[in-house]
Amino acid sequence: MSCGLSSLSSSDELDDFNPRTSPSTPPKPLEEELASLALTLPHPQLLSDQDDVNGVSDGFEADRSMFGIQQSDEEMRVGLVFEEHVGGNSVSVVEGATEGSDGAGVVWGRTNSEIEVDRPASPSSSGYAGERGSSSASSGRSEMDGVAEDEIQELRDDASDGENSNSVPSWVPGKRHGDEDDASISWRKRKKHFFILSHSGKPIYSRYGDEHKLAGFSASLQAIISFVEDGGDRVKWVRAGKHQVVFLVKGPIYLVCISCTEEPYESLRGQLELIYGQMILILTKSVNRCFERNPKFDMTSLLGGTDVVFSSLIHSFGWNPATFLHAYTCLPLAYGTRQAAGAILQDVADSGILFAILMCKHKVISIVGAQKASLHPDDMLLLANFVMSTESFRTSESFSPICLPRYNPMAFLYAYVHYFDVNTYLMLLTTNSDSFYHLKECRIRIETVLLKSNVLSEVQRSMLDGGMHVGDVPVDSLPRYRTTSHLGQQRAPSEFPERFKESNAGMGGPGGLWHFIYRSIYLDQYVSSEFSSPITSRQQQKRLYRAYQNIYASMHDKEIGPHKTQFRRDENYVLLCWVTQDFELYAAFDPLADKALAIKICNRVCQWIKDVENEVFLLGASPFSW
Amino acid sequence: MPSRRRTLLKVIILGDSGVGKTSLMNQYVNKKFSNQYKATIGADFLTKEVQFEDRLFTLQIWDTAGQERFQSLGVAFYRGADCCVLVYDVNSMKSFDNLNNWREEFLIQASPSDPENFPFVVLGNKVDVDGGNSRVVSEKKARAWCASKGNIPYFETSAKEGINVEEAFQCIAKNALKSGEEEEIYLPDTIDVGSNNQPRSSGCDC
Amino acid sequence: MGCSSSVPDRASGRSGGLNPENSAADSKNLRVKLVLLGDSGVGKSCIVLRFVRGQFDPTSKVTVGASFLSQTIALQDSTTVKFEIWDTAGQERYAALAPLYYRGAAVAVIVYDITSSDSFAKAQYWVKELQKHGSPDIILALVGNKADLQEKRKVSVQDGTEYAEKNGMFFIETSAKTADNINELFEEIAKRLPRPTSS
Repeated sequence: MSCGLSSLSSSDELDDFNPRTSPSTPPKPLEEELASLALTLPHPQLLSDQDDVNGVSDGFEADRSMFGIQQSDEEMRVGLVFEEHVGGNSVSVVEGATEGSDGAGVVWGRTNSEIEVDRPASPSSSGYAGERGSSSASSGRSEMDGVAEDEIQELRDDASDGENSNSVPSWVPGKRHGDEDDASISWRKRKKHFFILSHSGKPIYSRYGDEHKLAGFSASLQAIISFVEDGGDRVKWVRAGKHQVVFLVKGPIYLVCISCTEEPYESLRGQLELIYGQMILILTKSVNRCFERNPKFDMTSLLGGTDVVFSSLIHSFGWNPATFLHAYTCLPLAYGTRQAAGAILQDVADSGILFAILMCKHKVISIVGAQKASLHPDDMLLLANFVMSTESFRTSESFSPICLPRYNPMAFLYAYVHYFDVNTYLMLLTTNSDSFYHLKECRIRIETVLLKSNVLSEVQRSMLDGGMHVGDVPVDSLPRYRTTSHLGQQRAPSEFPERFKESNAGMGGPGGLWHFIYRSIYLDQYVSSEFSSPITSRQQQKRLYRAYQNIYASMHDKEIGPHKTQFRRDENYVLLCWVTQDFELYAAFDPLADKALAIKICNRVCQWIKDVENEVFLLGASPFSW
Repeated sequence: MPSRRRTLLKVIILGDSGVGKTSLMNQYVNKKFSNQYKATIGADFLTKEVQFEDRLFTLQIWDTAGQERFQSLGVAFYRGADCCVLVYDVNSMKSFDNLNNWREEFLIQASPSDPENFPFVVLGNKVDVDGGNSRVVSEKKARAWCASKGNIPYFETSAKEGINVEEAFQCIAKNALKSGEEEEIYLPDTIDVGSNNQPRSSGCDC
Repeated sequence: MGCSSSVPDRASGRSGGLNPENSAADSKNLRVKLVLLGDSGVGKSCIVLRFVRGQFDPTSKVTVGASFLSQTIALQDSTTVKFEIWDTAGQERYAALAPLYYRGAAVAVIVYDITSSDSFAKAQYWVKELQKHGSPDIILALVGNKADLQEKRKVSVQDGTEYAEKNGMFFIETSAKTADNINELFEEIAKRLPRPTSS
């Protein structure tokens, strides 16, 4: 057990890492953790739920479907009937035992009286695959490109996405299929819908289709929420055939997701929370006052021109782990380079700037906060999404009101935004509405220093070199103390011709390692490996993220968790997950990977990250200390 | 022109069971009428886009069930209505007498900010039945009631023959639009540590 | 909702806030703050980008908050004028925050789209707002953009001219697409700027 993490306890960084647990017991090596815990089996409920779901016609697409609420009191069954008129919707309350039972097996999740926990299918070898296999269409389908299941309707989009498989996929910004409404067959077949509506049932936002044409549908959603609310209860989700309908009520704003992607409830709810946060970032919570004074208030026009912001956020649910890890990631940079960037940001931050953030795409180069001010990773995600998805920021320097929902949801701050190059941008946040010229001067100073200290060129280089590659996981167990090479690679990237890299990447990493995500708990940061073969297509990446999301949700499950380790093997991957006080590691391996070897590799990955933490993380005084 | 502003109006239709609420709505939205009676259970929702005085807007029509056992749809159901349509059957005195209850019920549940001036429209439906021979509520009586409740606009309609339906809904739209005119102004706060940390609103006229 | 502390600034037209510190440096080299206002989609950004960079991008890009650009022009009398331009977002949610950008501006260019009566109505709203809250000596220009779309015209030249005259504004129709009258707009503004009495 020479390479277990316990061997690291001698290094001082570990204590720096984790100041709050001073006489900290170092985490047990992964071998021990796993030895004490049997393989995680799919939840027993899962199987029974799947049985219910099987053979039931797709409730959402069906012309007429019944939604039954089964309350703890068996006598009482209430059904909501969705009946299709031409261009209309209806919600009906049906009492009596018989009507409720001829419809889909629908389980309502409620806050007060939760009867049955629906555990969305986890990608385990039993249950899930079997269930899918039995659903008529898919018997002979290869599981490797099985994301088609999830993506059938978006095939055309994904085909174009697939061309750009290595980086963040290309995607068409803005609202798509805006001409559709709930009578369109194409609209009904979309795999994942998001809606925002007001508490009077007026539509505010819909991912697909025209908000106004969906007014009737949006009224139905409000009717469902209101009906349950009237009984002093709250609806969390509804399961209807393959679809899960997740509700989130935020005062006068209702958010709904309808999805058949088999993502866990917690993930979908988290996504709704982010969409709400994005809305707050654009408008602040002051919009609530408009509803208080006037329940009729129609909010749609206030969000004019922001379709692209929401569609980009929703898109990121499929590729950006920050959306479920609630952590941010850094652009890998030499320690000195990041220090230089941090120093100049600190310099300007002392002159009345609340936050100074330098980013490259969605990765942080450096960030500095004024004293006592702390920035939540979710706020960073939403801010970066807002800035990156809005073209006008790229055109020229801007000064715009924005709200950080976790910092202060009630009020606007002002953001000075400037792009240094096509990917690298600076955001200076202030509370002072008059400080544009000051911020502009700060930016000029920052730019001068960044150019002089070569930070911007280093950033470009890092973009080209990429982050950690699974092929570079050290195979020997000796700790490495390298300072000069990029991410502890045994070679400078320039010394190697591209084709070597490619062939190396083609094999994945040692022990069948395909990919990993490491999240440092105290830093609120994560680092993930670059995608390499065989996880190359956009669909495969998206599916891996979904698998991570599932395992993340089950690791953090309040009822059966939290877990320390989990080892899952299915026909797609071996997923290994390890949570300690300091970090969380999620790793994906070849489905045939050897368990003992996989465990060993995970230890190596942790060791490797420890070795290069100066480069992959932003260390030092963290502005994220809540 | 991107995102030209459109207005959405929430219109609630109330009235006794069987007076023809759903038929009126279907006649208006789909230009269809069915002789078969099908009770609405809970509520129906229809959307209709309307052009009015050079403006485009959308009517979100909430057709509710008249039966008593479905009446408890709750406060939230009526929340934020822009207009309320009260329907009775000119051949049924009871349905006319109940208009008062429906109006009261709506005002209690929806509690609009200005109940005196909340836009109602009253429709006396089924004027076609039996050539008008089975009619029990006179137009005069209905108009008198409407006048006593703050001059509620009144229409006599036939969902079956399509009489006055378009006109009635034009009026509904116009009235709903009028009530929506006093738009709420969105005044966000800003934090300004420079000015005593008080949240302030820029653009407030005082 | 508390009273706005920005009101005094606005009323007095004090050149603070988003204003260059040394505006109107000397009589030969003027420096002015100019703000563009108008409904979303009328082409404010296109006008600015045509003027500043000589570019036209037909894909519509929504402005968020406000963009800042500057451009210097030389007049025939050998003076130069540096325009510091605030291109504001036309979206409704920013209406309440507009004073932040027009506060202390020497010039306000109010833009509408000749193919949209709504945008002309919105332009009139901005004129009133600026007459109430802008600097007292602010120069107001009314611009009917998209003049290349003659066949879709909804606002006549006469309507624009009359409204501008009534409100003591300078009026011009432009096309950011064809570059028609764009430079003329800014040159005309430059000519109307009050010259600081040279000391």
